[in-house]
Amino acid sequence: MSNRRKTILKVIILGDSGVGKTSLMQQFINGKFSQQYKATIGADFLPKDMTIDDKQVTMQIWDTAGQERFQSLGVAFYRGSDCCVLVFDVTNTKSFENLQSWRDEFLIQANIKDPDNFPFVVIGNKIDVEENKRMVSAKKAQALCASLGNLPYFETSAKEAVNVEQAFDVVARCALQQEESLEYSDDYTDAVNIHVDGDNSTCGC
Amino acid sequence: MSIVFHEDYIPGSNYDDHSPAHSVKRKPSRVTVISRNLVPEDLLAKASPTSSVNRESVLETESSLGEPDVVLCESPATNVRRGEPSSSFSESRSGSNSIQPDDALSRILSPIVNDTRPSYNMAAPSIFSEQLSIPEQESFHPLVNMGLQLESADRSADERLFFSRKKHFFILSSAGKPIYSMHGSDDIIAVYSGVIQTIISLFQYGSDGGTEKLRSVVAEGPNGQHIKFLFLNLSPILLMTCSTLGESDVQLGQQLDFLYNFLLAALSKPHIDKVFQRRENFDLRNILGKTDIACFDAICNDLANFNNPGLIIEGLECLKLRSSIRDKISGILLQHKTENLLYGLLVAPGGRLVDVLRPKGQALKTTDLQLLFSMIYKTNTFKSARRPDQNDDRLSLTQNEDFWVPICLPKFNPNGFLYAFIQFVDLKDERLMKLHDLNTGILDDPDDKVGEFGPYQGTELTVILISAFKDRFYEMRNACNRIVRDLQLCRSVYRELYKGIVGTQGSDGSTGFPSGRVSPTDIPAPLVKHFVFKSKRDGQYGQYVYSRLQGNREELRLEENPQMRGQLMMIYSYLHSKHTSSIGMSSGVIREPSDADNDSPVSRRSYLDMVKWKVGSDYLTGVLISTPACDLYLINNGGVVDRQMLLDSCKKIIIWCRENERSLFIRSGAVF
Repeated sequence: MSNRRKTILKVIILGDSGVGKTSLMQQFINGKFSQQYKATIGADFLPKDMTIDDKQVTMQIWDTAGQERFQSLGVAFYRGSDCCVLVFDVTNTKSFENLQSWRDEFLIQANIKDPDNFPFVVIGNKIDVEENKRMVSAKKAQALCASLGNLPYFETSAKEAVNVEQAFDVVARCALQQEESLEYSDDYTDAVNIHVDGDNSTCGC
Repeated sequence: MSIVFHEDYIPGSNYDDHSPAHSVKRKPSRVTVISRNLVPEDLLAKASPTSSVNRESVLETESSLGEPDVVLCESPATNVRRGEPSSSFSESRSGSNSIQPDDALSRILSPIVNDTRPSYNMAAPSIFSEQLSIPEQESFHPLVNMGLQLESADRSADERLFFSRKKHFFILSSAGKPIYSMHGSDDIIAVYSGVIQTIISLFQYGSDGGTEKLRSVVAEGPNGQHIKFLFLNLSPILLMTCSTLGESDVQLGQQLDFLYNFLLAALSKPHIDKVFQRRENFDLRNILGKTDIACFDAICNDLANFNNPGLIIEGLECLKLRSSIRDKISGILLQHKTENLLYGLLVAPGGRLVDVLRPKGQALKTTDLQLLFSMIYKTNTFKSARRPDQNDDRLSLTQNEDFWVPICLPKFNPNGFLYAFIQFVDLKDERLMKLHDLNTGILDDPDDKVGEFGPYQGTELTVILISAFKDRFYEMRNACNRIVRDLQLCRSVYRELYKGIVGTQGSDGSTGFPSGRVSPTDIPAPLVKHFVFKSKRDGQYGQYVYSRLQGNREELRLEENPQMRGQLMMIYSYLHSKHTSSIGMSSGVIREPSDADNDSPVSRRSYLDMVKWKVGSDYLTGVLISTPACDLYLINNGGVVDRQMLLDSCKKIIIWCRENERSLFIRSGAVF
């Protein structure tokens, strides 16, 4: 009965301030890049329609603020996510080192029941920079992703639109898989017994 | 889009508090909304400097318990209190008078009569003031055209249209995934569901670690109109409405409560809790069917267009019927009550109660019946084309078919399903009409003629038999058939039901308007165009009388027209909104409509308000009188009003309704 309606996928993007979360989003959704840095306050919400193997989905992307003062909203933002994207800046070692704490924070705050199977996608952004400015090697990043449970890893440039589509295609697939992972079982027709409060004689039930 | 709230607490802000001085302590605060692109810019951004936010700490919720004391502390010796700080009304409310609950009617009304101050309050929601120029000839319209624009649910992807809507309803999950929205495509609502979830969360998880509950925000729209946003956090379900129609917090809260209850009616509380416990990311739309969405649409349309009087008046309408006939019907219901029958209802078109069969001490709740009637009468679920050759889209209730519907009645018990057997019986049955000597001329007058003037209300009596057991279909059907047979064959019962629902019988063989509603002309009450009288002490429901319009035949034919009814109810809703906002909202709790009548602060006070509007060259006056025993809403149309005469008419209506309450209301129904 719900086949014709698009599935809504909640995707949350996390990472240190300034790693390019908003730029990735803008590139992915609008195909644009702006040199100007503008901090996200709270969260941005952007919708993106996609077709995954003939299935229509609407990605509800929660682009969160990396700045610490917005972290109290974590609980509210994280819960009920279908996929979490962890972003770091390949020119910023600290942002890479913080990945694991972003992930742990997410798992705790979102109260994920099966942490081992929750889909994360890791993105190393800003690969357009000169090689000598690059601080985190692909090998190092891949090693971390492997240790965290074989997380898919992408290297992107939001500026030059490298690999952005591909990364979000995998994000959407992971999210859809998560959304469908626990099929709804239609057990409510016989699950409930009616109690006629305080009535035990007259109505015969 | 981004949102940030800068909170700066302003001692003694301009926040408009109508509640009594001692009532719930609220923390006045101001919210600035900074928006980019997608914030409802028209709505929120422009309002930033002036918007006010009504919220309170969760910890303060107990303070509402103190509220009734405020009412009780009024000195019983004083007759009228007006403008005193301790009275229930602030000085600014001209035309509102606090009056003694237990006074005789004449004493209640006298203060207004003797009041020489200009007492008409011209302040009204923007919708009234926007439509001041009405062509001259419109003043002869049965009711002054107040310019109500009907609006209905849509799924348009046009954002401009989305923002031009005067009313929105959103239901979403705590994760921010949309469940239902009155307007907008998936793309639009996916975004705003996230925004709404964030706004609610900003207060729930404050940056200082505190927890607050956001209740409402008032913003100024692009045309200077006030837009009120009201939030209801019933985790795992969140609801929000925004409205430019001038409803009070209490009214909007009741509207959200009603929508929430329909969600429970469709799915039941434990079921909703269970799916979200298992997975917070669950898309609840997966288990809502098309009929559920259609019913949400119907409820929202009614709320946006003031088209369900019961939801505004907080009660149920009854079919006017001679009490001896109602007693006979109760006898028939009791005679055919079967072992597993829990509730029985006989309902006239439009959801007007005829009689109720119920266990002792187990009254059905008003909200539950309103939900049931919205499903039956406001959606197409139970309807079909009247004739196979009928090619327009007017549908009527399906006959010759029995329905067996699982439904959760949330106010009765949110934890389980009941099963409703539903059958529609057309009273316009040639065989029976001949048997009981009723004019058959009406059979040649096709329904289409009535339909030209508004939605066809129908001539069917609905029989609803509710059981707690899902395998009791045949038992219910047999009981129903026996009940229907007796109703049809008992001459006096059939004739009276026919007259009340289909039409009265003229001595010249003609068929007149049905007698199931009273008209102001039945009562010697001059100047009254229309009224609603709500009784608060009859039986278990808030029951009300919704009168006919006073006017000629053409006007009467228009009274079922949504535009006409919407305008009447818009005025009553405005009067009701002033009344409810004068009381304030019990903290954090949405009061259950009408079920708490005996205890609520509303009912302990008496209240009188008269509001006059100028529309073009025409005047319209609305009156609300509220006493512990009843509410009277009334409309006077046109010209300069003799206030003394109008108030005398109010008095006459109240006295008349009291004298005739046995035929106007169901006292206890058939109790077993």
